[in-house]
Amino acid sequence: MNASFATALPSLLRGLATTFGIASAAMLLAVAAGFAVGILRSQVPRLLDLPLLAAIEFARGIPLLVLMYFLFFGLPQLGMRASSNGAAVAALAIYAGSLGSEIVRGAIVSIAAGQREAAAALGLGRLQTLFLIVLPQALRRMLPPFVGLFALIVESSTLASLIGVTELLQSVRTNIERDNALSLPLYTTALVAYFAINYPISLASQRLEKSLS
Amino acid sequence: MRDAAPQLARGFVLTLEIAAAGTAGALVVGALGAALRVSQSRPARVAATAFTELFRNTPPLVQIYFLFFALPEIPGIGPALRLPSVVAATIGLILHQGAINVEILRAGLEAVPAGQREAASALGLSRFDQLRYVLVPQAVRISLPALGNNVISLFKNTVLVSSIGVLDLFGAANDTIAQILVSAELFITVGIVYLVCVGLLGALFRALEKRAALAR
Repeated sequence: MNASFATALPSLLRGLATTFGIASAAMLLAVAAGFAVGILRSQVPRLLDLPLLAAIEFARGIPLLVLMYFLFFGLPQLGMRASSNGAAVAALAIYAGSLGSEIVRGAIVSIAAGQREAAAALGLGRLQTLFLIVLPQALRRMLPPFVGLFALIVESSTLASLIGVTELLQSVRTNIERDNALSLPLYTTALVAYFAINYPISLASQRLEKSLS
Repeated sequence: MRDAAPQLARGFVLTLEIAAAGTAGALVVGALGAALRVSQSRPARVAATAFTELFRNTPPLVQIYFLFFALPEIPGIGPALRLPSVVAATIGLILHQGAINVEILRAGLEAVPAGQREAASALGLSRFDQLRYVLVPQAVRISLPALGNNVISLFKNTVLVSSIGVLDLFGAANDTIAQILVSAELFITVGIVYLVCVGLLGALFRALEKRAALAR
């Protein structure tokens, strides 16, 4: 390992910590939003569901980078200012939250109607059926895709480098700007680091999928 | 903003070109990779698996930077690997989305019931003809929804090419913003263009799925 690589290491580790920080914050928000919207969508009549569906189609249809730039560069013109970290977490959470709500709704809908009918026959109310019968079973089916969603968030968190968040990729770039000889070793390091994070996560997601089905 | 229209239009055309080349390339990579994944040669299977896992588990933005900035720095062969930004960016998109296609098509091939291959084999079809006439047509049908999602994902990811200076629609928009400083409305306009394209692609694939289902 050469000397300049060693000097780069502390800033790379700080970048890695920031990557985990924004990815975890976005994941928490996405899970919360995913449950709220997904449960709501599975319960409301079709007419009330339409605005929710439109919001989800918007959030997952727009390129994440466009959303992030809008939140960071566009909103200040409309009088709202966000920090780069805040804009990055918000954009990731909106995008991942829309995917998360589909995971939750899909899992709830996939629980056999007989479960609901049996609960109704036992005299359980609508909310009791949802929280005591349907959701506990649906949770198992949500787990693998939610694990996979975290890998997607980590991968997508690299976009935050483009609005100046010093996550892992941005600290790689800053070090290379200082010393261009680091280009090949540091970009290779970045590939290896992201692979080392995401490969086990996607393996875990696949294993869970197999063992729970 | 009106003055920016020609530049944005050129950017949009470039976005469509990158998306078309990327989609075609990713399908070729996906088909080749899936064929290797189910081949009888163990080295071929291992190589295809390594390629797939590496490129779908690393961020496309890092791949694009690696191709554009790091490859030319390889001692000896590096200078020959200096790619124009639009080429490096498109290859990056092809590798990432192609690796995902490998996984989609492999899963599709494995989802075809084993009886189909056995019946084809009993009819005396060669291994290649089994794939060509029996397995692949059914696998593609099974894979269609996931392939459609991946095409849409590639289209959305074309905005990443702007990060190495390519003036696609998003790059052109940012270039304009740097000159005239009206970012909010420009981002909204550009966002709507992407949303409409994604909506059209979604409708196209739903129609394809319907046709494939009817032909069954």
